Amino acid sequence: MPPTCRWSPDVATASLPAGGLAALRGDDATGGRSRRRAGLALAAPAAALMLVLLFAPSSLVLALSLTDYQFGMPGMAWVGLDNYAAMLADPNIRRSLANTFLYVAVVAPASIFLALLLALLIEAQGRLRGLFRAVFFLPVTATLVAMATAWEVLLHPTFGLVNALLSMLGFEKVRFLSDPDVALWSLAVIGVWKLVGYNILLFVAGLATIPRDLYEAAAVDGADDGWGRFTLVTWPMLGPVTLFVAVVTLIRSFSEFETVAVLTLGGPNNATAMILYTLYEQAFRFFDIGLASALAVAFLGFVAGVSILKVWFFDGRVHYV
Amino acid sequence: MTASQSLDVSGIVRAFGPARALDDFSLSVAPGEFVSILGPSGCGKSTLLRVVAGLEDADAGTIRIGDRSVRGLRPKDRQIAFVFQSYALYPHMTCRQNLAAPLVMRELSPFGRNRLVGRLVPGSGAVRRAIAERVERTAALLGIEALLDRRPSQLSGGQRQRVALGRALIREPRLFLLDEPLANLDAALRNRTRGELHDLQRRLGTTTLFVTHDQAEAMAISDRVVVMFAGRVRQIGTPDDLYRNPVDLDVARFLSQPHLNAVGAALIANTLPSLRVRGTPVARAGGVVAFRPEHARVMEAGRGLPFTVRRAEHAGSDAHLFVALRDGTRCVARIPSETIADWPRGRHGILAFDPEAAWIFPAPEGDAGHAPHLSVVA
Repeated sequence: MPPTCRWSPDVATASLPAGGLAALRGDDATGGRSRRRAGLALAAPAAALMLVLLFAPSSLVLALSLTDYQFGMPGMAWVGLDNYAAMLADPNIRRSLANTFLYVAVVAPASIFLALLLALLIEAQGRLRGLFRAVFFLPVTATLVAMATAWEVLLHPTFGLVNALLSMLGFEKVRFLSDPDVALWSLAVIGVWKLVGYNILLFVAGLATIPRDLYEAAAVDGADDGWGRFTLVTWPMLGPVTLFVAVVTLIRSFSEFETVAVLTLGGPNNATAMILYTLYEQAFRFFDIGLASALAVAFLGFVAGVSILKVWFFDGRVHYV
Repeated sequence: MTASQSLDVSGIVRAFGPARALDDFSLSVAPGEFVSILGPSGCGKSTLLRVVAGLEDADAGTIRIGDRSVRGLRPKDRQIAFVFQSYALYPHMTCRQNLAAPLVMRELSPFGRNRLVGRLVPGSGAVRRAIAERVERTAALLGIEALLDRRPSQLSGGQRQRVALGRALIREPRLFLLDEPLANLDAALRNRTRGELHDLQRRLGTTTLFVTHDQAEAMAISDRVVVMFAGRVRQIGTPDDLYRNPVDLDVARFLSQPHLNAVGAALIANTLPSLRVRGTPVARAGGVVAFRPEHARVMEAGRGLPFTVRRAEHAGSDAHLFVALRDGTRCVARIPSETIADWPRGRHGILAFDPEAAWIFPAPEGDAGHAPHLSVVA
C-alpha cells in the first residue's frame, strides 16, 4: 500500500467498516482480501443506486419488451421478439422511426454548425457580445412548452406573424404545422432554434480556452486569414468541445418530444410522429406496454450506440489538451 | 541560408490608453548581431518584439528590416521568426507537423494542405517531399530527430523549447525574435540552453532580438544589451560596458543583482571628507554613491563607514553580509563564507569600498538618497 493512503486513518474510522480500516493500516496478512472488501463497501452505495435507478428499470423494460403485457390486464405471456417484429412491420411506427432519423439528420448537423458559426461571429464581435450570448441562450432557459405555444402563434396559418410576412411579400400562405409535407421541417427549425443556444454557449466557452499565442504563432507561420486560422488552430483546438456537443445534440434531437406533443400531436397523419412520442402513445394511449418497451429498447440502443461510438472511435482521435 | 539583415527601429510609439508601452523607442541592430532587450516586467520589451513582428501595430515610428520598411506587411511577410515564451506549439500536431507548419502554410495551397484532396493538386507531392527533407535537416541541427513523432504534451519543457526553436528557424528567417524563450526552464537547463542558443545563433548568423528580464542571461549571450525602463531605452552597450559604466542608478541596480549599495553622498562626506569617487570629491557631490557588494569590504576598525551587522546569507564560497549604517542605510558586503562566524548579529564594524569601482548618481526623484528602504536592491 502506498504510504499516501495511510495519512490519516482516524479520519477514515468514522465511515469505514472494520475490515476496511485494517486494510488501510495494512497491518494484517489478509490485507488483500480485506482491501477488496473495503473497496466494495465504498463502491456499494453508488452501485446500489445505479442498480435500482438504472439497471433495474432498463432490464425490466428489456424483459417487458419480450412480453405481450398490456396496462391493466391481469396476465402476460412471453412472445419473444414479436414486439420487435411488430415494431418494424407497423407502418405508423416505421414512419415514426423514419421521421426521427430524418429529424436527427437535419437538426443535429444544422444546430452544431450553426452554433459554431454563430459562436465564432459572437466572439469576433466586440461590444454586443454579451447581448448576443444572452439572446441565443434564451431558448435554453425558457420553458419549452410555453415557447412552443409562442411558436404556434407565430406559425398559425391565418393570423400567424410568419404567414402575414409571407403574404405581404406576395407568397402563398403555408400551413406550417398542418401540411404533412412541411410540418416535420417546421419542427426541425424549432428544434435547431432550441438546441443552438446551448451549443453556442459550449463553443464560446471552448473558444475562450484557446491560447492567444497559438493564433499569433499561426499568424507568423503564415496562417493569418480566417480560413487558415480556423483550420490550423480553432477547429483542432475545439475538437473535444465539438465531440461533446455532437454527442449531446444527437441524443437530444433523437429524444425530441415536447414540440411534437404540444404543437402537432404527431400529426398530420403521423407526419411528425417521432420515436419518443410514438412510445408515449403506445404506452399511455394504447396501453401496449410490450410494444412501447420494444421502442424504448430501440431508443436506448441508439443512445448507447452514440455514446459507445464516442468513447471507442472518436476519443482517440480528438486531441485533449 | 539567407544573408542576415540589419534591423532599424526608430521613434516607435505604442500606447495602450494613456499608458505608453513604447515611448519613442529607437534601436539599430547590425546584421548578424545578437541583441538582448533587458528590463523589468512591464517595461514594454515584449511589446517591442510584437511590434517588430507585426503582431501589434505601432502608433508612430518606422521599422526597417534590411533596407526595406515593413510598414503594412503582415507578420508572415516580414520574414521573421518568433519564439514565444509559452512556445505556442500546436498541441494537436506531432513535432514533425509543428516544424513543417510554417512551410506547409506558405508553400502549399489550402487544397494542397488537405490530406485527402492534397494528392490531386499538381506539384504538391514534390513540395511535400522538400518540406519533409527540411524538417529532417532542422531536427538534426537541434538534435530532436527522436522526438519528431511525439506530440508537444509528451515532451519536457526543454524539448518543447527546442521544437519551438526549430519551428522558428526552419524557414530561414532574416530576423529571430525570441520572447523570453528560456523563462520556463529550470535553472540548470536554462544555463545550458542559453549557451546552445548562442552557439546556434553564431552558426546561423541570423540577426537576433532576445527579450529577457534576467540580467545574467542577457550579459552571458549578447553582443549588445538594451536596457529598457518604462518604454524607453535607458542604455545600449556591450555587457561589459553596461556592467562597468551604467548611466544611472536604475541601470546600475538592474545589472548588479541581487544587490547594489546606494549611500547618500552627504553621509559619506561626513565620515570621509576627502574621499574621491573616480576623481570627483564626494564632499562636493550631491546624490548617492553606489557600489557593488563585491567592491565593499568589512573591517573591525579603520577608515570607513561604521555599521552594525543585521544578518549574513551563505552563498557557497561567498556570503552576503547585510549591515545597517549609522543613519539606517542598509548595505551589503561580500565576504568569504568562512568568515561568517566573525560577524554575528549586532556586531559593529567599518565598511569600506573601492572608490574606483563606485559611481556617483543623482538621487532618485522624491528621495534624498538615503532612505533605508531604497538603498538595497533585493
